[in-house]
Amino acid sequence: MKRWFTDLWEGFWTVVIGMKVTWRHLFTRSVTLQYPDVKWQLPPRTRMRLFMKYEDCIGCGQCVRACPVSCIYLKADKRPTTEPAIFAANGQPIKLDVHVFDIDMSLCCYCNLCTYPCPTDCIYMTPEYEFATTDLTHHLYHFAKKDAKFLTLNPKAAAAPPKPAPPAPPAAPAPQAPPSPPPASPAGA
Amino acid sequence: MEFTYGLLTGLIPGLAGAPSWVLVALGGLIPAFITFNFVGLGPIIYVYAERKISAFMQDRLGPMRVGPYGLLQTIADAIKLLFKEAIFPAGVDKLLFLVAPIIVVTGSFLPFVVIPWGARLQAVDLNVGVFYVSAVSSLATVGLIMAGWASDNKYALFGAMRSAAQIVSYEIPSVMALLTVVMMAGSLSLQDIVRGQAGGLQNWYLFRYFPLMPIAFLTFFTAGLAECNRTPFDIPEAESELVAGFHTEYSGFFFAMFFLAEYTEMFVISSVASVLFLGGFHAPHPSLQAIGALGLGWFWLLLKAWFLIFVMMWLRWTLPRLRVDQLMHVAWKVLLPISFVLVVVVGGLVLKWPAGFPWDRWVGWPITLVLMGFLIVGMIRAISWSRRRTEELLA
Repeated sequence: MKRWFTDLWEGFWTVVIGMKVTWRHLFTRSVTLQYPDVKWQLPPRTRMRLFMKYEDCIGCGQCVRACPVSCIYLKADKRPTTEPAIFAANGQPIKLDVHVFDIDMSLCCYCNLCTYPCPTDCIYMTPEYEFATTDLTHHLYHFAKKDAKFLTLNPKAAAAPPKPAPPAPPAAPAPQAPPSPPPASPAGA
Repeated sequence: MEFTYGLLTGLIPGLAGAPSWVLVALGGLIPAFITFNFVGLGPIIYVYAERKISAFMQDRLGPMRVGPYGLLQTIADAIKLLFKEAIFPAGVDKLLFLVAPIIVVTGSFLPFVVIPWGARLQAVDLNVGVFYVSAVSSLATVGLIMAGWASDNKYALFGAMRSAAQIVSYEIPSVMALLTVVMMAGSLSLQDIVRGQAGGLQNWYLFRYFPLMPIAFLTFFTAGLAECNRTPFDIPEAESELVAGFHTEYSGFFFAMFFLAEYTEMFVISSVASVLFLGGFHAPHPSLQAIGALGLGWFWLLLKAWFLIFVMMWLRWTLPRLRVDQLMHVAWKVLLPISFVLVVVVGGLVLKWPAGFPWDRWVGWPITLVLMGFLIVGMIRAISWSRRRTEELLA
């Protein structure tokens, strides 16, 4: 009989405690962001839509091999030696002509694995997330450009010569040699 | 009704010589029209309030898109429901399927005949008012069972059976708790019951025989929650167990009718509880009764009923759903003994001390003030905490 009363009181009192909690929350500020009007500032390393800087791509295909869902399509031919030499932003010579570089974002699983092996850091994920479309094929992004403006001068070579120039006695290989040291530094970076 | 006659003949002098059947028809139809519209449009407010309160209690905003602060959201939803197709699934009993929501709505609307909004602002002052209310409000069960049976769906049938078990169980404690009030007032007429509580807050039946009548009120309110299938007792339409309970197969307008009936029943329980325990249309203090020329009886009754509806919503977003056996436990092992003891004890006390305990003259005020104080302190502390927390997070 005593148990009945203690249970009854406990039931009543726990309801009162619960009501206290909800009463408190009734007056606290809401945490809702009204999405289209107010947007959350995403951190810069957020993994959203993939982006590829075509001018820096050397067509090595390491991202294609890294992709677990095979959503990157790459087609590249050997660049004729007759054409002027072009370079990626980190100084790597671009020896392949990339004709097709497509990424199917509807297949992408946002794992970020493609960005690690890239020797020129030209593929990366952006905080851009509003790319819903009514047609699934719009999620196939074409990154290869016909009118891409490639670097015709080695950007690293301009900075590199002052350093190797004093110790190196032969001045003849200077224009061709610098491309070889830079790959070592970005690969390690 | 006499009030309506007086008003009619006063406003339209030509009606004074009209045959009596015209007067009776008008005197019945006009209050019915007003009450029906008021009650039928009420759920639009309650649904909006429910969504907003639930959102605020979960630190959300609730509907914000349709109209300013989402005020038109429920109107949009109601229009959508009215224009939707009413689907009759294969295998339903068409007649019962159609009649069920009508019965449920009728059962939930009928109690408004006797609810007194003022000393004369009442459709009919039945001398068996309390009995009438408890009789017609359980009419909804018939409709629910009909709906569940006619749907030809196991979930619907489960829901209907559960609702029948629940309402039959909880009807007893609620009626027993009503009996205590009836014994004190010495009448079944709601008008007499309200008259017995005139003269301020300390005279409300809630604070009579001090520790006893609050318990009766809580018993009645809990049983009322169960009768209108509100959340701690919403097993007839438990979303996570039965798809939607008895109205699983309903769509469009017929579903809207069930919805309407549910919210109307909430209002019925709240307004009956405020008429019986919270002084009906009497203000907490007689000086507040008539501000200006109008007697504000309807205002006070509406305020009390809406406060009780708010408490129902508050409970809904606080408590989890009971299991079926816990539900039966609460009804038969907790509320039923309490209400029987109350009937016997309060009956004896009414015979022995008809005027109540000596502390009944003042005990209502400190309790009310302490409760209000708790609520206001909780509110202020929550607001200041939230502001401080926001500043901390932004810093």
